[in-house]
Amino acid sequence: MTTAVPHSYAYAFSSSLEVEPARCRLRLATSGGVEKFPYFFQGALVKPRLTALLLRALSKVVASRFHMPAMMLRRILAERDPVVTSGGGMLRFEGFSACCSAYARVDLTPDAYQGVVEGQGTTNVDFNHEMRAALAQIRDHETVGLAIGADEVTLLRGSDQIIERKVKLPVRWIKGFVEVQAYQARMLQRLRVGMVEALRFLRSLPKSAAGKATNWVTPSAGALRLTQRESPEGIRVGGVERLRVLEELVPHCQGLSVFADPAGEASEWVLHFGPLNFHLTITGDVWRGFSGEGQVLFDLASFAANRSEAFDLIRGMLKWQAELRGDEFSANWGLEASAIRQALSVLGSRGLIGYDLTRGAYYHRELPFDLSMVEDLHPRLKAARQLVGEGRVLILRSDFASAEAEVQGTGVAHRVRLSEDGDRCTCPWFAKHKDARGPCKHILAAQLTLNPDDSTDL
Amino acid sequence: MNREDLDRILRTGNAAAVRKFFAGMSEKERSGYAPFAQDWHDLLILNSRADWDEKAKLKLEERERIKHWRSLLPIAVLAGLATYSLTRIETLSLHWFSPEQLEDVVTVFRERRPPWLDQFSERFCEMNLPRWGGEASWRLVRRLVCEDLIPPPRHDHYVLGALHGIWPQTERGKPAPKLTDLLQNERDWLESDFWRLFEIEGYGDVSLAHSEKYGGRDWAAALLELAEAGVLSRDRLLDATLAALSRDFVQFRAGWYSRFHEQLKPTVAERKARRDTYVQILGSSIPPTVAFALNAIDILDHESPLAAKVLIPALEPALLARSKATVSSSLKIMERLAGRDPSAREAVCLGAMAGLLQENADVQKRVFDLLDKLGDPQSEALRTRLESYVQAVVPSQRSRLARWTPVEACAVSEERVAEVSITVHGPVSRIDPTRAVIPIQGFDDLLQFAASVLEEPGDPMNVERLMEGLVRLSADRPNDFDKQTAPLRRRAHKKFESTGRSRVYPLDRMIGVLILAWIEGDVAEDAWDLSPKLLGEFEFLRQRMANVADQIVSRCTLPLLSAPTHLGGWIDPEALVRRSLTWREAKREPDLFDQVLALLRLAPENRADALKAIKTLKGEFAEALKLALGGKAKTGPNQALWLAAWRSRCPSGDLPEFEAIHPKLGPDGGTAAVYSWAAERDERVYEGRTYYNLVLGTSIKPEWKKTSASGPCLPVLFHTPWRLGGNYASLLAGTGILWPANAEATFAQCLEALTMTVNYSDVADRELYVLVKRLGDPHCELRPMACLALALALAAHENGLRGFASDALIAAITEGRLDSVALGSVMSRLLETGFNPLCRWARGLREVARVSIGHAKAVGVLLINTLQGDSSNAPKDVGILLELLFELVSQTGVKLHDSTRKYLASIKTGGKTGRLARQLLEGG
Repeated sequence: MTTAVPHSYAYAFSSSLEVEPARCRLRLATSGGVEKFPYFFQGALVKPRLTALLLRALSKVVASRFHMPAMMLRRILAERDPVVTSGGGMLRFEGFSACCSAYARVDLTPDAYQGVVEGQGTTNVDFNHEMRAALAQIRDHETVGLAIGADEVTLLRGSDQIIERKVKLPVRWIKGFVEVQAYQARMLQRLRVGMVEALRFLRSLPKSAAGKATNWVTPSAGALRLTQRESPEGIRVGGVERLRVLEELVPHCQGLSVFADPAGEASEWVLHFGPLNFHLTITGDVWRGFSGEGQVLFDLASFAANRSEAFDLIRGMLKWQAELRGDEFSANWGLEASAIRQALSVLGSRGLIGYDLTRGAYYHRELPFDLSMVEDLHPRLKAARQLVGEGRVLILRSDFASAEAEVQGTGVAHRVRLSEDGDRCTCPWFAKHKDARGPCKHILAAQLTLNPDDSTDL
Repeated sequence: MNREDLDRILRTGNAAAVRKFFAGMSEKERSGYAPFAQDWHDLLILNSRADWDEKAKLKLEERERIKHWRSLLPIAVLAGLATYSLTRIETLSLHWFSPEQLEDVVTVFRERRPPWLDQFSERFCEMNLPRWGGEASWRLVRRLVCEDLIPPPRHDHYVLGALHGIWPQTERGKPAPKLTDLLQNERDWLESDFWRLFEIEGYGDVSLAHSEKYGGRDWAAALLELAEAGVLSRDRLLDATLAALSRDFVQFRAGWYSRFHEQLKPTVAERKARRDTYVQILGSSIPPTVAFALNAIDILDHESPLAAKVLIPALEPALLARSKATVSSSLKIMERLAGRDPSAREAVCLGAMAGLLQENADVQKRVFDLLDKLGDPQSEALRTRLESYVQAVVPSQRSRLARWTPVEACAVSEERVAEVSITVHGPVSRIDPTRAVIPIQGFDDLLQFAASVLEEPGDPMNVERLMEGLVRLSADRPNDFDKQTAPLRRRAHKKFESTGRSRVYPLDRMIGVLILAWIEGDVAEDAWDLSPKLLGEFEFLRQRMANVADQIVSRCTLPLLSAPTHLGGWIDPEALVRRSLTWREAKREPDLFDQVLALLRLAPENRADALKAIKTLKGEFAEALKLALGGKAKTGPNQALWLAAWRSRCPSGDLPEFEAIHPKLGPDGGTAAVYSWAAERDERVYEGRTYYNLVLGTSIKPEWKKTSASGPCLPVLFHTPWRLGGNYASLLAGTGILWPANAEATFAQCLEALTMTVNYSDVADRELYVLVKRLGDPHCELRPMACLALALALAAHENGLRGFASDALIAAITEGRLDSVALGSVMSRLLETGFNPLCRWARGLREVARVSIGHAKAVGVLLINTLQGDSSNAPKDVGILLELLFELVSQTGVKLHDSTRKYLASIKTGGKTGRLARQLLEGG
């Protein structure tokens, strides 16, 4: 099983903060994606200090691991860089923690900068130590320019040497990118508090890892409170120490919104800063990465059989539309909501879209990684296909609303029931997780048998 | 020379002969010997493992046993180094070499000079330096570098490895060489890679901070000496430390750099030259680093005042710091700035307001003092900014807002809290329909549910639901029963076998047995044997589950009398009567464990109605049930049954009528258990340091003895002594719903472990979570042992446990279960021990007080009841509790008792504690 994919970061120069007497300029180097060295933006920051703070927080998440043996960390933490997406006037910087249990994104709306968006797409961006340290120097009264990439003239004229870094990107890290949007699209806003309450809550969090107990965050007297008691209005948050990255940012924010998926498996914490937003998305438990969640497997399994015009249409529209809203598609094109949802899931699983909760929309983002090399991106789906291929699935009964199948596992046959009320399987994996972490391979195999799928290029 | 010669040389263990054997050989010739060398190396490794690894021992029987493998292994490794390819060489364990054999390795490489030596050194650093024995590996790499065989490796481990590797092995008793001398001997390293120690953070036990704190190796002193001698550049050291501090290393490791920077005693001129860097470091996310930079800025500002446009934005991160000392220092600098530059007053006031986000009355007071002194109340900017901080102002300082903002704005905090204040109400009925247990619906549900409980047995109500379902549906077997249950059967067997007889996961094993009883219709002879045997209530649970398994095997679908009808383990009395009638109609008798448990689980509600319906029931159980429901009955001969009936009726009082017939059964037999406890602070000196621990002693009357009642006499069984250990969490949860009306014995059993959690972290936390969580149950009565458990858990070292305790207190206040006097007196007695960590109470209580005005009042009253008695031995941090009380008095207006006033008046210490005591006496 592939655990890491070789990847080469090649930057035309090293990202840096160039300080001049009257102004300074944050020059970010890019690598890969639509071009070798994409050139996205040239302009100035409206809120320089705030932007710098948010970028530092992002880099802190990317450099963090909240759960993983230290030795293992050193081997995989080979300076993975965040990615930046330019589209529809938005500049989005995003990245994952090394353990894949936390995802952070900084959104710059057009009001957050003055300048010209030169290009669109997604690319890696160099966040080296020196540049990160220099971000602390930026103050609001200064004029701070921002450049993401550089035009060809500058590149040709520059004396910079190409900086190449070969790393092994953990598969789970890449998988996190394709799984997180599936959660985000399902989340609903559950709580919203002002700056003072948000700060009070974050400062009340334990300084170290919060023990073995699972926590819930509940509204309390117009503020937030951490509790160990489950409650209907509470949001389940394991590993609350992950939220501490927000503490530094909160005094500058206008408010904090908390989103959560209905099953309580993940939550997103959004700090609003007017023209900027900082998103922190975390899994329900710190030891769980987004990579293993399997939220898109159902859609992938039934995709080939149900490949609809919605998929082709949305795929085509991505070329010229930066943001997509499922309900708008439904209304404008008369397509079924389920077909749109499935198409979006499949696009997400291919690293082609992300989801912005504050705007309630998908955005076009083609990950600058070679996903074709990750043959084990969805091992459960692969195992299900193998079960089907080996003729281990026997459909016992099937009608419009439900079906029953027997799937031969290792030494024992599992009974699978598919119905609108929820699918079931007799395997231990299902007994433990139910459908909280996506379907088990037996359910997927039964589904693939009922809806044959000749696609293997996922 | 051939393989036989090499074999002979390797067996004699002669390093010189190995070197001579390979001298002058080409790479091709060497690689020809590699498989042979590897085979020999593997054989020796197998010999080394055979002492402790059974598999290796078996393998070795087919091969050769080598007696002196230990002395031969380094020579085998040497042969490997002389012959292996780069890939294969990575499998060698070089830690077999002694320092004297280092020379042999170097000689082999010198003679061989393979083309991949550079790559080897990088890989070698990555793989070997962080391992045990990495010091020797670092010395080997250094030797290769010094011999010019390889360039200095770029790998971080090469830099970090020096922290330990630079020290040579010394004979015991001989003094270790001086670090300065060792560093001088490595001049090339000192001039180059040494500086990367300021760029690489390190990890675990490999960092400058760790070497200093735990290794007893004072790098700082050596570097200072070298700086003074001019060997190391002082300027570069100052810059490098600041650069390290800008890298956001973790707090512990960053601390070394800030301390070392100060040890260099930078002059004002040197600090001035680095002013921008200090300003930059003020933005660090490491609080001590911010404090360090602030100190430097303070010095600079004293000596050479900084301009407002530099200082005010620079201090912003420090004013937003979590540490109150940092915020206070920043305010001091701001005030000084305003004093020398009147034009900056408004900017200073605007900046200083960030200090209001510090939730400390002293800091906020300082901000308001500054505002009152320097600010213009007419300033629109000041008013607007202040309004955005109104929510953050602590109650004792709210009156000061009036000068700056309209009254309505000041009152916002109070209103918002009042809006959401929780009305104190009694707990919901035990048999409220919302708490009813939903029975398993049929075979499919049972199959799924059993699989789920087998994987996650933590919830005792699920275990009860499973038992009830297995009994009721035991005869419901579809045609393909075997096929459908095959996966579950396999899994249950696996669980059963993997847990063995060990008591580490006894509940997992017992659930496995129940499921197998259902599927296979049989129970293995030794299925219920656990080693060592369970005690007390745990043994009762085991016996009860064994009886249920027998009922499942016999496919008797008559209802379990003791299956809870409602959450918390309660049974609706009317349901129990109905079940009893079903058994009577079938002319059968449930087992005694089921009867006892059913009686002890009876909810107090609805008993009178149930009593009316019982009239047609006959027999000893019916009589006992009658008694339990409040009727009249003559106590019969079955002591377990009648004890259960009496204890169901009166969970915690003496039972003279029962005692007369069944005397001296033990605590909670006919005589109710009475608990007493004493706590003290234990003081121990170890290696010159004094350590304090809280020690708690408890006793019960009547005493539990080995002759006390056993078998199914459940109330007495709860007093059988046992210790937490292994994975008792799910088992403890299971016994927690055996007698829901009285948990005092369980709390008393866990007090020792709870006391340990105040002293240390990570003490059987999972088991204690279950226990403390129970305090939050709406029907858990906070009697003396429960109060003591709650007081200890509120002071626990571990966050999770403290969180459970705060939740329990919130629930107790909300549900009107809290007796502030009872809990307060327990806390007061604990406080008298003078054990300082008990002041952790303040953290949890502050959170509880925030829930609503009602909770704030309740916490205030609780603190008033706590601060009583003798203050002469109060913990040194008692001021934290006084501070909280002062805020609560300001917020809610609760009044101090005379006894609290006496306590406060007797506080003789000065400082903040004394001041707060006086303030409370004046205002409360």
